[in-house]
Amino acid sequence: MALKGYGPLGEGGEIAGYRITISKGAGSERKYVREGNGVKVSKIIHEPLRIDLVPIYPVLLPHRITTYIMVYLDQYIHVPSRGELEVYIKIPVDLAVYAFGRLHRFTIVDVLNINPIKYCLYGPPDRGVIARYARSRIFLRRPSIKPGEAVAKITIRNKHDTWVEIGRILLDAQILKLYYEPGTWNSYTQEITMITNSTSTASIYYGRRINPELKPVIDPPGLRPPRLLSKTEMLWGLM
Amino acid sequence: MDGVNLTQVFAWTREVNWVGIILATIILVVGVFIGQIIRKITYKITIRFMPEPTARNTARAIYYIIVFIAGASALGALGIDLTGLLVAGGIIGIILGFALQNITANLFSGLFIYWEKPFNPGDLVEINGMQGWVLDISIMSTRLLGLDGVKIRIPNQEVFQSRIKNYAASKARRLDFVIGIAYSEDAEKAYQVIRRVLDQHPLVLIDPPPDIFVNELGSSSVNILVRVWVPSKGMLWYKVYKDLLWKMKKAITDAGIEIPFIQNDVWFRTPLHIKIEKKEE
Repeated sequence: MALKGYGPLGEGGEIAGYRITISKGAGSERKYVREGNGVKVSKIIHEPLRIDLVPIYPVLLPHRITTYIMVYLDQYIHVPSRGELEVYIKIPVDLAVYAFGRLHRFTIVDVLNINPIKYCLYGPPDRGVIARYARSRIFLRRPSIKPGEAVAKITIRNKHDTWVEIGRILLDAQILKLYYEPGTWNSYTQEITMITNSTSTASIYYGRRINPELKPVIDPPGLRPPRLLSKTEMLWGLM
Repeated sequence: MDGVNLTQVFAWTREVNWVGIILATIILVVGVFIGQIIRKITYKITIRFMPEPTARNTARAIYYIIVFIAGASALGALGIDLTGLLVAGGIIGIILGFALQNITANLFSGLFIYWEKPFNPGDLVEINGMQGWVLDISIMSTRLLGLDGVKIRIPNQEVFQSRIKNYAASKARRLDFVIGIAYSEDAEKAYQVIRRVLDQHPLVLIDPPPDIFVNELGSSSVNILVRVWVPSKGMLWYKVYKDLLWKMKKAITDAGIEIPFIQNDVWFRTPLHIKIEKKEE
């Protein structure tokens, strides 16, 4: 049976070529098995109160190669001087299996990558950053969302004196927040503002959640240490 | 009755240079006090760019130098002639300088390494052809954990004078592979097959894009050079290095492209006469 969305996993289901099975053990433990795409993960979870499927940042788990996501747009956006526009883009998200215990304590049991993984270098090899590569269409309205996708609403503001051309947006998963709608595959980031300072540099600011009724993803402790500055600088080109 | 002559007892006190003693004491106390303050200031400044033990030892060395100068000045205030001591000290200094030449060279090389910072603990480096992770940079030597798990100690003088490759200093590094195909094969078809393999590997970076081109017309094959960029974090590059060559070879063979063996044509300067004897049974 195909899974219907984020939230309690129950006895499991199928998603993107994986079959998740959660079965009762002899006592209060549960057996978690994920099979598919040539991979089998099997774990025993002791006394879980609930097991949820939750969207998670596509870079931090299970291997932290980078914290950045570079979204290449399939069309360039031309923004006039002092101009502003709002667009929606899609970013990849992974699916995390959270096991909750008493006092809302939880652990991440498994992370499913359901998008192809590729990385890119943004900037020169010595000073640049490695980023998870993603490609997105540009949407003028909020698009429908499939499993493994999250929608980001981006406000682009050109502070520069000339037109700027934008072909990519760098996001930092250390600052990015994810929200989801239980029972659906709808997942969103907070509002993001991209302010272009020149034809090749921009600052990305992270704002509030799109809809206050959305459920935030609970970050595992230590996964995202607090940051003083909640912005990302794009210093090595916008295309 | 023989009594104690107090005048004689205290006579020596008149000969003592009380002013000199007080002055020497003041010089020594002030010297030690200033030395302690300078030690603390030096420690606070050097800890910003030096490891803690080195910063502590540097501050302590400066403290002892100041105390030594204060002690010498105090002895001077007492009227003690230090010329002989300084001459002896100078000679001992020269002897020690020659004897401890290597140690001094290592010490100063260590300080220069701290200032220049060509690598940090935890970096994967190559020094004098030895590859390993930097464990520790001490004042005299640099310790590596070799890729084979063996600890390597390299004197700082050798480190300072060597070519150092720091693989962790950049975010991405390039790996090169050479694949030879037969002269009869289509190189562009091989490019497509190789590109497909690279596209499927998650750790081969999309940007900078892989570079694939015929690099050499070899003695028995057309050599295709494949250049890919990979994240240099940890040992990810090694994973790609292990994976790719075999995957590319397999894909090329599966596509029906021939990877030739080495062929040698032997040419004789003079005509070669071959005599064939037939045995009749």
